[in-house]
Amino acid sequence: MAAEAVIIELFNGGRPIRYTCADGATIEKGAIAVLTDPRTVITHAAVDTPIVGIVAAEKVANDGATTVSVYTDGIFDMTAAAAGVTALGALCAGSGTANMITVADANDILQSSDVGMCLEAHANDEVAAVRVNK
Amino acid sequence: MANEAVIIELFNGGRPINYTCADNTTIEKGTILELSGDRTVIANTNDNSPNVGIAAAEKVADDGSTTIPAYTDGIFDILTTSGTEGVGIKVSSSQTENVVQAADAADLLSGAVLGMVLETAGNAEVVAVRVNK
Repeated sequence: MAAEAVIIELFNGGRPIRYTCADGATIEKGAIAVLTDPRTVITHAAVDTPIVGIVAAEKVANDGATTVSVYTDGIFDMTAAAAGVTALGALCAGSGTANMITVADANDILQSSDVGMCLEAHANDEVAAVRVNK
Repeated sequence: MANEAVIIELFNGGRPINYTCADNTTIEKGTILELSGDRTVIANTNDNSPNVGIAAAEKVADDGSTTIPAYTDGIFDILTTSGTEGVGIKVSSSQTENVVQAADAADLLSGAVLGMVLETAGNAEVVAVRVNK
Protein backbone atom coordinates (compact mmCIF):
# COMPACT_ATOMS: atom_id res chain seq x y z
CA MET A 1 0.00 0.00 0.00
CA ALA A 2 1.15 3.53 -0.65
CA ALA A 3 -0.03 7.11 -0.76
CA GLU A 4 -1.53 7.02 2.74
CA ALA A 5 -2.92 10.33 4.01
CA VAL A 6 -0.73 12.21 6.48
CA ILE A 7 -2.10 14.28 9.34
CA ILE A 8 -1.60 18.03 9.11
CA GLU A 9 -4.11 18.98 11.80
CA LEU A 10 -6.74 17.13 13.81
CA PHE A 11 -9.79 18.83 15.28
CA ASN A 12 -11.52 17.33 18.33
CA GLY A 13 -8.72 14.79 18.36
CA GLY A 14 -9.69 13.89 14.82
CA ARG A 15 -13.14 12.86 16.10
CA PRO A 16 -12.33 9.16 15.70
CA ILE A 17 -15.25 6.84 14.97
CA ARG A 18 -14.89 3.10 15.44
CA TYR A 19 -15.88 0.73 12.65
CA THR A 20 -15.83 -3.04 12.29
CA CYS A 21 -13.15 -4.61 10.08
CA ALA A 22 -12.21 -8.15 9.14
CA ASP A 23 -9.57 -9.77 11.34
CA GLY A 24 -7.83 -10.99 8.19
CA ALA A 25 -7.53 -7.54 6.69
CA THR A 26 -4.40 -5.42 6.60
CA ILE A 27 -5.29 -1.73 6.91
CA GLU A 28 -2.52 0.82 7.12
CA LYS A 29 -2.72 3.97 9.19
CA GLY A 30 -3.61 6.82 6.85
CA ALA A 31 -5.53 4.65 4.41
CA ILE A 32 -8.80 6.04 3.10
CA ALA A 33 -11.54 3.99 4.81
CA VAL A 34 -14.36 2.72 2.60
CA LEU A 35 -17.68 1.68 4.11
CA THR A 36 -19.17 -1.77 3.51
CA ASP A 37 -22.23 -3.38 5.04
CA PRO A 38 -22.84 -3.21 8.01
CA ARG A 39 -20.80 -0.38 9.54
CA THR A 40 -17.63 -2.12 8.37
CA VAL A 41 -14.59 -0.62 6.66
CA ILE A 42 -12.03 -1.79 4.12
CA THR A 43 -9.16 0.01 2.46
CA HIS A 44 -10.03 2.25 -0.47
CA ALA A 45 -9.26 0.74 -3.86
CA ALA A 46 -11.97 1.80 -6.29
CA VAL A 47 -13.90 4.80 -7.53
CA ASP A 48 -17.50 5.50 -6.43
CA THR A 49 -17.28 3.81 -3.04
CA PRO A 50 -18.59 5.41 0.18
CA ILE A 51 -15.82 6.94 2.28
CA VAL A 52 -16.00 7.50 6.03
CA GLY A 53 -12.61 9.01 6.81
CA ILE A 54 -8.92 8.25 7.34
CA VAL A 55 -7.74 5.18 9.25
CA ALA A 56 -6.29 6.24 12.61
CA ALA A 57 -4.31 3.12 13.55
CA GLU A 58 -2.41 0.28 11.93
CA LYS A 59 -4.38 -2.96 11.53
CA VAL A 60 -2.19 -6.02 10.99
CA ALA A 61 -3.79 -9.06 9.37
CA ASN A 62 -4.87 -11.74 11.84
CA ASP A 63 -3.89 -9.70 14.91
CA GLY A 64 -7.26 -10.48 16.49
CA ALA A 65 -8.65 -6.94 16.15
CA THR A 66 -12.03 -6.62 14.48
CA THR A 67 -12.45 -2.87 14.86
CA VAL A 68 -10.46 0.10 13.66
CA SER A 69 -10.80 3.82 14.35
CA VAL A 70 -11.28 6.33 11.58
CA TYR A 71 -10.42 10.03 11.78
CA THR A 72 -13.35 12.13 10.59
CA ASP A 73 -12.31 15.69 11.41
CA GLY A 74 -9.03 17.21 10.31
CA ILE A 75 -6.74 18.38 7.53
CA PHE A 76 -4.66 15.76 5.76
CA ASP A 77 -2.01 15.68 3.07
CA MET A 78 -3.50 13.50 0.33
CA THR A 79 -2.31 12.49 -3.12
CA ALA A 80 -4.13 13.35 -6.34
CA ALA A 81 -4.40 10.55 -8.87
CA ALA A 82 -2.95 10.86 -12.34
CA ALA A 83 -5.39 13.12 -14.18
CA GLY A 84 -6.74 13.96 -10.76
CA VAL A 85 -6.22 17.70 -10.87
CA THR A 86 -8.49 19.64 -8.55
CA ALA A 87 -8.91 23.36 -8.12
CA LEU A 88 -8.58 25.25 -4.88
CA GLY A 89 -11.70 24.72 -2.78
CA ALA A 90 -13.08 21.97 -4.98
CA LEU A 91 -14.61 18.88 -3.43
CA CYS A 92 -12.53 15.77 -4.04
CA ALA A 93 -13.53 12.11 -4.01
CA GLY A 94 -11.85 8.71 -3.95
CA SER A 95 -10.27 7.80 -7.28
CA GLY A 96 -9.73 4.41 -8.91
CA THR A 97 -6.27 4.20 -7.34
CA ALA A 98 -5.83 3.21 -3.70
CA ASN A 99 -5.63 6.19 -1.34
CA MET A 100 -5.59 8.70 -4.19
CA ILE A 101 -8.24 11.32 -4.82
CA THR A 102 -9.74 13.12 -7.77
CA VAL A 103 -12.29 15.84 -8.40
CA ALA A 104 -15.81 14.99 -7.15
CA ASP A 105 -19.16 15.21 -8.93
CA ALA A 106 -22.73 15.34 -7.61
CA ASN A 107 -23.06 11.56 -7.55
CA ASP A 108 -19.99 11.29 -5.37
CA ILE A 109 -21.74 13.44 -2.79
CA LEU A 110 -24.98 11.43 -2.91
CA GLN A 111 -23.14 8.14 -2.49
CA SER A 112 -20.69 9.60 0.07
CA SER A 113 -17.63 9.06 -2.11
CA ASP A 114 -16.49 12.60 -1.40
CA VAL A 115 -13.47 12.97 0.87
CA GLY A 116 -13.30 16.68 1.52
CA MET A 117 -12.35 20.11 0.21
CA CYS A 118 -8.96 20.85 -1.35
CA LEU A 119 -7.19 23.63 0.49
CA GLU A 120 -4.62 23.98 -2.29
CA ALA A 121 -4.78 23.38 -6.01
CA HIS A 122 -3.76 19.81 -6.86
CA ALA A 123 -1.66 18.85 -9.88
CA ASN A 124 -1.42 15.26 -11.09
CA ASP A 125 0.21 12.99 -8.51
CA GLU A 126 0.75 15.95 -6.20
CA VAL A 127 0.23 15.87 -2.45
CA ALA A 128 -1.93 18.69 -1.08
CA ALA A 129 -3.95 19.58 2.00
CA VAL A 130 -7.55 18.37 2.16
CA ARG A 131 -10.14 19.33 4.78
CA VAL A 132 -11.92 16.15 5.88
CA ASN A 133 -15.19 16.41 7.85
CA LYS A 134 -17.13 13.15 7.53
CA MET B 1 -45.50 11.07 17.03
CA ALA B 2 -43.54 7.90 16.51
CA ASN B 3 -40.32 6.53 15.11
CA GLU B 4 -38.06 9.01 16.88
CA ALA B 5 -34.35 8.64 16.20
CA VAL B 6 -32.42 6.75 18.86
CA ILE B 7 -28.85 7.60 19.86
CA ILE B 8 -26.19 5.00 19.04
CA GLU B 9 -23.19 7.26 19.60
CA LEU B 10 -22.69 10.97 20.17
CA PHE B 11 -19.48 12.78 19.26
CA ASN B 12 -18.55 15.99 21.08
CA GLY B 13 -21.60 15.39 23.25
CA GLY B 14 -23.69 15.38 20.10
CA ARG B 15 -22.57 18.98 19.43
CA PRO B 16 -25.98 20.37 20.41
CA ILE B 17 -27.07 23.64 18.80
CA ASN B 18 -29.93 25.68 20.23
CA TYR B 19 -32.82 26.73 18.00
CA THR B 20 -35.94 28.74 18.63
CA CYS B 21 -39.30 26.93 18.69
CA ALA B 22 -42.88 27.97 19.37
CA ASP B 23 -43.99 27.73 22.99
CA ASN B 24 -47.21 25.96 22.02
CA THR B 25 -45.54 23.19 20.03
CA THR B 26 -44.81 19.63 21.11
CA ILE B 27 -41.51 18.17 19.96
CA GLU B 28 -40.43 14.79 21.22
CA LYS B 29 -36.81 13.95 21.93
CA GLY B 30 -35.38 12.18 18.89
CA THR B 31 -37.51 14.08 16.38
CA ILE B 32 -35.91 15.20 13.12
CA LEU B 33 -35.95 19.00 13.28
CA GLU B 34 -36.90 21.07 10.26
CA LEU B 35 -35.79 24.67 9.88
CA SER B 36 -38.93 26.75 9.45
CA GLY B 37 -37.88 30.37 9.89
CA ASP B 38 -35.21 32.56 11.46
CA ARG B 39 -33.19 29.92 13.27
CA THR B 40 -36.52 28.35 14.26
CA VAL B 41 -37.42 24.67 14.13
CA ILE B 42 -40.51 22.46 13.94
CA ALA B 43 -40.93 18.71 13.83
CA ASN B 44 -40.13 17.63 10.27
CA THR B 45 -43.18 16.80 8.12
CA ASN B 46 -42.22 18.26 4.75
CA ASP B 47 -40.27 16.78 1.88
CA ASN B 48 -37.32 18.81 0.51
CA SER B 49 -37.17 20.95 3.63
CA PRO B 50 -33.95 21.88 5.42
CA ASN B 51 -33.25 19.92 8.55
CA VAL B 52 -30.75 20.77 11.27
CA GLY B 53 -30.43 17.63 13.35
CA ILE B 54 -32.16 15.54 15.99
CA ALA B 55 -34.10 17.01 18.94
CA ALA B 56 -31.98 16.53 22.05
CA ALA B 57 -34.72 17.18 24.59
CA GLU B 58 -38.46 16.87 25.05
CA LYS B 59 -40.51 20.01 24.36
CA VAL B 60 -43.96 19.98 25.93
CA ALA B 61 -46.58 22.36 24.52
CA ASP B 62 -47.05 25.54 26.54
CA ASP B 63 -44.26 24.74 29.00
CA GLY B 64 -42.88 28.26 28.57
CA SER B 65 -39.79 27.13 26.70
CA THR B 66 -39.02 28.74 23.33
CA THR B 67 -35.73 27.02 22.52
CA ILE B 68 -34.73 23.44 21.90
CA PRO B 69 -31.27 21.92 21.30
CA ALA B 70 -30.56 19.81 18.22
CA TYR B 71 -27.93 17.07 18.16
CA THR B 72 -25.76 17.63 15.11
CA ASP B 73 -22.93 15.10 15.50
CA GLY B 74 -23.51 11.41 16.07
CA ILE B 75 -24.81 8.10 14.86
CA PHE B 76 -28.53 7.40 15.24
CA ASP B 77 -30.94 4.56 14.55
CA ILE B 78 -33.51 6.03 12.13
CA LEU B 79 -36.42 4.52 10.18
CA THR B 80 -36.15 4.49 6.38
CA THR B 81 -38.97 4.59 3.85
CA SER B 82 -39.93 1.66 1.67
CA GLY B 83 -37.25 0.98 -0.89
CA THR B 84 -33.76 -0.32 -0.41
CA GLU B 85 -30.88 2.07 0.23
CA GLY B 86 -27.33 0.89 -0.27
CA VAL B 87 -24.64 1.32 2.32
CA GLY B 88 -23.11 4.79 2.25
CA ILE B 89 -26.03 6.44 0.48
CA LYS B 90 -27.01 9.93 1.66
CA VAL B 91 -30.51 10.13 3.14
CA SER B 92 -32.80 13.10 3.55
CA SER B 93 -35.84 13.83 5.66
CA SER B 94 -39.18 13.00 4.04
CA GLN B 95 -42.80 14.15 4.37
CA THR B 96 -43.34 11.42 6.95
CA GLU B 97 -42.27 12.44 10.39
CA ASN B 98 -38.96 10.91 11.51
CA VAL B 99 -38.60 8.78 8.38
CA VAL B 100 -35.69 9.24 5.97
CA GLN B 101 -35.38 8.45 2.28
CA ALA B 102 -32.63 8.32 -0.34
CA ALA B 103 -31.48 11.87 -1.10
CA ASP B 104 -31.23 13.49 -4.51
CA ALA B 105 -29.25 16.47 -5.77
CA ALA B 106 -32.02 18.93 -4.83
CA ASP B 107 -31.81 17.73 -1.23
CA LEU B 108 -28.12 18.59 -1.17
CA LEU B 109 -28.82 22.15 -2.24
CA SER B 110 -31.82 22.64 0.05
CA GLY B 111 -30.16 21.34 3.20
CA ALA B 112 -32.50 18.36 3.39
CA VAL B 113 -29.75 15.75 3.64
CA LEU B 114 -29.61 14.36 7.16
CA GLY B 115 -26.71 11.92 6.87
CA MET B 116 -25.23 8.74 5.48
CA VAL B 117 -26.54 5.20 6.10
CA LEU B 118 -23.89 2.96 7.64
CA GLU B 119 -25.71 -0.27 6.75
CA THR B 120 -27.90 -1.38 3.90
CA ALA B 121 -31.53 -0.46 4.54
CA GLY B 122 -34.35 -2.75 3.50
CA ASN B 123 -37.99 -1.69 3.22
CA ALA B 124 -39.00 0.44 6.19
CA GLU B 125 -36.03 -0.72 8.23
CA VAL B 126 -34.34 1.03 11.12
CA VAL B 127 -30.64 1.52 10.35
CA ALA B 128 -27.63 3.42 11.68
CA VAL B 129 -27.24 6.87 10.12
CA ARG B 130 -24.18 9.09 10.52
CA VAL B 131 -25.46 12.62 11.19
CA ASN B 132 -22.99 15.51 10.86
CA LYS B 133 -24.94 18.74 10.31
